[in-house]
Amino acid sequence: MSLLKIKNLRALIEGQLILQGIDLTVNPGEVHAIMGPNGSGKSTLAQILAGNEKYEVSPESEILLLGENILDIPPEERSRRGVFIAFQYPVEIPGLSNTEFLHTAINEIRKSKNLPPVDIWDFEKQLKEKMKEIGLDPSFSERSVNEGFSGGEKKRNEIVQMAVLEPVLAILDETDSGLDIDALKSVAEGVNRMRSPDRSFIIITHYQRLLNYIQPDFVHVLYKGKIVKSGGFELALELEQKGYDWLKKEEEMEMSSIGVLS
Amino acid sequence: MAIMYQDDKKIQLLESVAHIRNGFVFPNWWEYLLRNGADAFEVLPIPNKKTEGWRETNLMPFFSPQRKWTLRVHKKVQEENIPKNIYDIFPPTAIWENGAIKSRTYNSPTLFINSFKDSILLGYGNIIQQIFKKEKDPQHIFEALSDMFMHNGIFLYIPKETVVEKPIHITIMSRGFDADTVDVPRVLVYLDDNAQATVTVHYGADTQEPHSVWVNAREQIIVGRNAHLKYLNSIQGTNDTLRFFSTSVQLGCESSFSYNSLHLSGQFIRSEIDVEIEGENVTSQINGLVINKGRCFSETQQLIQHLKGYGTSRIHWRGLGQEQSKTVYRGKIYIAPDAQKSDSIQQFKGLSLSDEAVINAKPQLEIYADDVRCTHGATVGPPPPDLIYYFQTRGIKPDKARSLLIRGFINQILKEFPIREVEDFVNICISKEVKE
Repeated sequence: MSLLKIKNLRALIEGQLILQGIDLTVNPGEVHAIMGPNGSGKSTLAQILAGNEKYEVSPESEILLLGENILDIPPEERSRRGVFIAFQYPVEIPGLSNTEFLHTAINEIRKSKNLPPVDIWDFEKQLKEKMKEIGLDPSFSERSVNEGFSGGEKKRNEIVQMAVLEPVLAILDETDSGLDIDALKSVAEGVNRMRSPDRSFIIITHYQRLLNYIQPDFVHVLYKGKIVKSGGFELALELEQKGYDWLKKEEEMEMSSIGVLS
Repeated sequence: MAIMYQDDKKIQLLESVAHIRNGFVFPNWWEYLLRNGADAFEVLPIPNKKTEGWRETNLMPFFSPQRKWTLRVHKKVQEENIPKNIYDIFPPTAIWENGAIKSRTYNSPTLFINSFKDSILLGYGNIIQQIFKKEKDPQHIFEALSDMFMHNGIFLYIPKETVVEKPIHITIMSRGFDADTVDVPRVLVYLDDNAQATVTVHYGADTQEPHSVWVNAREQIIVGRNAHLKYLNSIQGTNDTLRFFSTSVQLGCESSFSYNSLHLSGQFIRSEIDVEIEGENVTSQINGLVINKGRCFSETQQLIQHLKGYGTSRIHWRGLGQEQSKTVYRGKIYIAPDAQKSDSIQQFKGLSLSDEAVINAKPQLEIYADDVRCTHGATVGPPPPDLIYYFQTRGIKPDKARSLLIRGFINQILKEFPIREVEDFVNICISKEVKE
């Protein structure tokens, strides 16, 4: 069974159609990269998968996680079922330490599975280990979530959270933006360490450079709310060389020929 | 008609001045203060919504026709009346209970703490007199009331060059009886030059339904040259407590002062603090947390006056508004023409947990020097939906997210409090005060 199956996903925000019918299948263990120019709907797709309720999803759309439609399920329940999103712009939570935040998160998830809670001291030890692995100073475990962190530190912290929560489907929304090369490598190493036959990734990015470190199984190009091209890693290389303009022209030509035919 | 009735109230209060003498012969300067207070009380009008600084204050609970206020002065402190949470975390060095005072360490080489009356008998009258000489005339009837009823007070003196390591805890208990009761606690803290201390003052109250307690408190704090004081003022009350607080602070050169305030519940709280930076190179830090609920009203008025240069002042104040409560913050930083190179930051944050809760903030700057750095700001709002959503994406339900955000809001300001025990105290109180 596929891990994720998106069928005819159409979504609006404030009356404007952003996603115009997306179909995508992600099998366990696969890494899918979604690329596309600004405003193509990449982040909208990520947010809808995570359960952001500010988007209006068309009733005929379906998002099946392990065969079950999750569109009516709130974000916390999706997270408990193993969906994780690494945010493009992670928020700051003043006054709440990383340890306290993630300890609550993991225990809430465990509670929903009738598992006993994790002791805070054991948890903090594990968290510090994960932070070290991802190149974040372990003292950040005591600091308020993302407060006063640099852009790169925030992104690394998202990957730390992913490593702690061990999702089955991780969506990385432009995690590479604003990262220097060292941070990019640490983030990629963190992701690669987590790759496994039963965990899948959707990596949203503008650029191919992250994909040099995380080799995707599939690359999809999103343009004007639709997947206009799919392929392997070579598609990412092509996009890096040629940019998005050739795809835009191709798509516009196709649209006009449809117009002529109709 | 209402004004006439309020005037009647003032007369009724004046009649009870006779009760406070209780056989003690006040020295002339004290008599003068009592008389001066009574005169001011007679002359000053009751503030109304048109009076500057009183626009948002509803004084009806004080002057409602159902209330018949009586000043009660106790002869003995009953320690068992102190709430356990205060007693355990801040074991008191001195206790006030409706005018009765008990002091444990009344006279040691490192500190002196006693009632005003005993302090005079023990030879500290001159120091107290000098402090009162510098005190301004009452600005409004509540301050006048404190002066005219000043039958006693707690005096704490830290001599020159003395460092007191252990915090000094003072508990003020105001008890209600089978009548509406007025209590006028007074605290005078004087750190002489090069002294250092941590002082906490806790205000507790208990009331007997249907009667209320009106606590009209006055604190005077003097921090001498190069002296360093950490101060906590914590207010914990019942729903039938009306509190008026006036705190005046004078800071000598090179001194540092950290004032930390915790306001938990109470039907009405109006707290005023006036800090005068009288010397150069002074550091003043004011931190406050107000947790408001029910239909309670809490107002804070602050005036920080940089009268001399090279001073630093910081204000971090927070208000948590629940249910139908109203929380008001008005703070002003005044920089005098001579106070060059002053550096001041004033910040208020309000978290509103109900559509009906009101939080109003007015930070102000009044600057007459041209080489200063001053900033101020205020933010008020409910828990941000994007933060709640972030929690949800980590498996945490919105209710739990909200309660963690509230906790974070409180923790953030408590981190600024330099007195370690405050966090334990708030943790104990929080389940009662915050409806998470």
